[in-house]
Amino acid sequence: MGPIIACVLFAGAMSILLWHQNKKRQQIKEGVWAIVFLWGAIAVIVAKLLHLPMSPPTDWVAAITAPLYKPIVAWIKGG
Amino acid sequence: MTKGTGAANGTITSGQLSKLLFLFSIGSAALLLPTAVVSIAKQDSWISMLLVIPFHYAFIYIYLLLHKRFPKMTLAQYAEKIAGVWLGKAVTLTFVFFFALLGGLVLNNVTDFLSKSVLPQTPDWFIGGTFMISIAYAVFLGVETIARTGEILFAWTLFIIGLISFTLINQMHADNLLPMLYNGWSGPVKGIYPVLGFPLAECVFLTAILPMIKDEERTKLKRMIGWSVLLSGGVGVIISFLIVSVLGVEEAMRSPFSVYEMAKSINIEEILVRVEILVAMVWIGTVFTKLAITVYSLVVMLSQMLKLRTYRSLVFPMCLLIVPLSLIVYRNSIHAGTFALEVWSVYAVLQGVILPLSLLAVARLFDKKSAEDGRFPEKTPKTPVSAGETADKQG
Amino acid sequence: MRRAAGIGPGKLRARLVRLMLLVLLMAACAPLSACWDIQYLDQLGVVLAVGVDDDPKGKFRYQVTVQVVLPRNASPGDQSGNGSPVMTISEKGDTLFEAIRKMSAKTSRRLFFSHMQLLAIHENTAKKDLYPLLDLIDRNADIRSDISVVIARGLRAEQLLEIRTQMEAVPANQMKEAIEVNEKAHGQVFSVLVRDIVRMADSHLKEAAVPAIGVEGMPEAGNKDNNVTQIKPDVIPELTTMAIFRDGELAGYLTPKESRGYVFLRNRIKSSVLKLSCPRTDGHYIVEIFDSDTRTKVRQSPQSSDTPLVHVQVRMEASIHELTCQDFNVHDESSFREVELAVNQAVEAELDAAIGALQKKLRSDALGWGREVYQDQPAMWKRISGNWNDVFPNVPYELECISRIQSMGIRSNSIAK
Repeated sequence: MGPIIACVLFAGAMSILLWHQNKKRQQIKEGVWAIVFLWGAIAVIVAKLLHLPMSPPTDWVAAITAPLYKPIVAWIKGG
Repeated sequence: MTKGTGAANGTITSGQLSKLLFLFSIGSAALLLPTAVVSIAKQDSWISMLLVIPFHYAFIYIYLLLHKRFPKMTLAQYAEKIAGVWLGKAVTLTFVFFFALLGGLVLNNVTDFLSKSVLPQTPDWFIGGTFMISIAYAVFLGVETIARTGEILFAWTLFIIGLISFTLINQMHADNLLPMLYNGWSGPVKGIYPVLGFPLAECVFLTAILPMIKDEERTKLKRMIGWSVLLSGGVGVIISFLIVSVLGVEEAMRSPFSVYEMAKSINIEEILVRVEILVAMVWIGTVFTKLAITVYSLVVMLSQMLKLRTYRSLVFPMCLLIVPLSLIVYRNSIHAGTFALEVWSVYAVLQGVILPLSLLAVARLFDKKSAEDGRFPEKTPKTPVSAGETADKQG
Repeated sequence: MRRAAGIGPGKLRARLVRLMLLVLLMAACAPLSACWDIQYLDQLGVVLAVGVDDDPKGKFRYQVTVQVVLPRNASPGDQSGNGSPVMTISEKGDTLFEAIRKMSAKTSRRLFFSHMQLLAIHENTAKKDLYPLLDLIDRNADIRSDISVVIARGLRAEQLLEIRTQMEAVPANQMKEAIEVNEKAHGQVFSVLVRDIVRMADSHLKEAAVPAIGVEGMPEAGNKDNNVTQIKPDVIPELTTMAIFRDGELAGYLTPKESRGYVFLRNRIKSSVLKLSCPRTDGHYIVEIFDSDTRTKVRQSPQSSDTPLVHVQVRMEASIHELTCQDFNVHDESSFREVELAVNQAVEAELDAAIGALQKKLRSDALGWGREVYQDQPAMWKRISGNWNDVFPNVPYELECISRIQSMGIRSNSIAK
């Protein structure tokens, strides 16, 4: 629990910081997107801390490209 | 240094670009790749590395052609010009995913190496996090800073590679390279496969960096890049050659960090011993460059897709994302090995070669080109300014 | 540059920022010392040698003994207390790593293997299977693979590590250096590192050969103070000959003559000494070979295209070092020719003996001829690699020794007339 709370607090603090920094430079859109991605990253970190089952992105890629790479690899290993 | 130097734009020379390209191609590749190639091509892996060089240049040529059509725009921007706004954004999104994944994979590699060899008890996220702090700072400072750092690292990398090659001469058993072409040419030709993805197709980062070239340097570009490709190819050949002759085929196949193992053999009269940490230094330097460039491309493309005025705001969140990404991207070392060897080449070539090639084809078909300056606008001033008081001079 | 930022509060703020950065940098140096991986030097027990025997009770596979340095006793000038510079710890286990971990019950320090010099394996254990013992060293990132391997012959490895030695304070050093001295001076054995064995294991094209150490004297007396306080030690470790393996199992030992022939064939002779009989009288003379180069080439045998013919050529530079012959004509070059012929014959006899022992008696390709065929005649190798074990014992060979006598030391005539 401790690390998770620390992460969320950290995210909150950074969000405030980002917001102020960007507002100072009249970059509201940038600030908003930065905060969005920040929370996305924190979500992934918290998910990892909670040991939620997460499918590795590499598996998604492997699934999509399966019809291409499987025959090539078979050729390399076979011949 | 001006406070805003390289805030959104920078200019680099073609020499700096070629050095960055060299470091990028070497980082991860010359140190992790030989194992994969040797396991396919056995003692003829050096031939594979030789055969790869024309492919390398061919891939880069695609990016150069696109660059000629859109000299000051990155792929994120001309994709929208070529394929329309929404399809272009979709294309950019695939690239964003690609670069994010690449960043996670590269960080995983270096964390894995440091963890297994040097710091076994330290948590992986700490090693990765510390590394990403310096990367975030470098990307924040801009491509110029990265390029200048690259120049320094280039000199050191060449020096250490030369030193290692020289001191390994007395450990070489050249007969390990025999018999040549035991299974005919199929061995070396198949050995090209891992290299295609890693690093060749990853050079698509050039589509994000090429617009940053100083105008007067653009004519030298082709020549400089040619030299860079030759040099990185040459280093690849030398390292493959050394790996097989010093370690032998079987041990080279079995060790994931074969270049590091090879450097452990350096022994000149019992005085110059245990210098393998030099290889680790080269590796960290080149991986730093590779990661910095990858994150830079990622952030630039993402911020251009979202039509932001500067990429700097996204640097921190993206770097933060890459750290846990590096931890979830592989389940275990076996998954890492099979993915890197088998799947990555196909995915990377699709993303880094086929996609830009299709964009180029469509651009030629409809004769689309644009000399528009797609670079980020000048630093937005804090208060409204008059015409005389423009923003700080860009680096 | 900072004109726009201005003077006054700007400057102070800039200084403050710089100060904070400095503090941050200094604080960042703290994790550089690797908090998690910190290892204090005086909490490490440096292991210099490891010995592997069979478990005498038969319950586990191995009994592992480690020789650990005691720093306060090992430095030559600081003999505080008359303790031994090393101590040994023994444990039993089914694998090397299991036994080592169990030793943590007996040590007050964490065992640290990065400075290991020697791995001694008892002959009975080596007869079972050598390669599994080396997997830990090969795989672990902390243990280096340039460790000398020896076979303990005639005594348990445990006893070998308990012999106190005089020439070197640390017994493991003495044994390891002895192998290197022998390799350089006599050529009866050559040092074999774990790395060499691991590379041989992979290809199965070359069987392992490892030097063997025995003792002169009774092993039990090695562990006593007497052994270092007397002028003549009771027990001293003594190198014998090379031990040959077949399929990773100890097959047998070579005789001294065969052993040196083997070292010639492996091209590991740095310098060696040959005793020859005087041509026409009683007595002997000694020739020192100080440079030797062996080349092995494989051709197709004229009898069948599936049989390789191995041609071994040994080139030697030598000089006469001890001359006690009475009618040796030191002014005529033809006497050098005679000596060269004698040297060639003697070396050929040793090579013959070595090849004979490996082909017929031990049936083990420790010479790497399989590898030579693979490299020189790949097409033939594709055909015969399957039953190389049957082909090897009958492979024909040609020996060619070419020696050149350079000089006779710094005297011409001998006083032994």
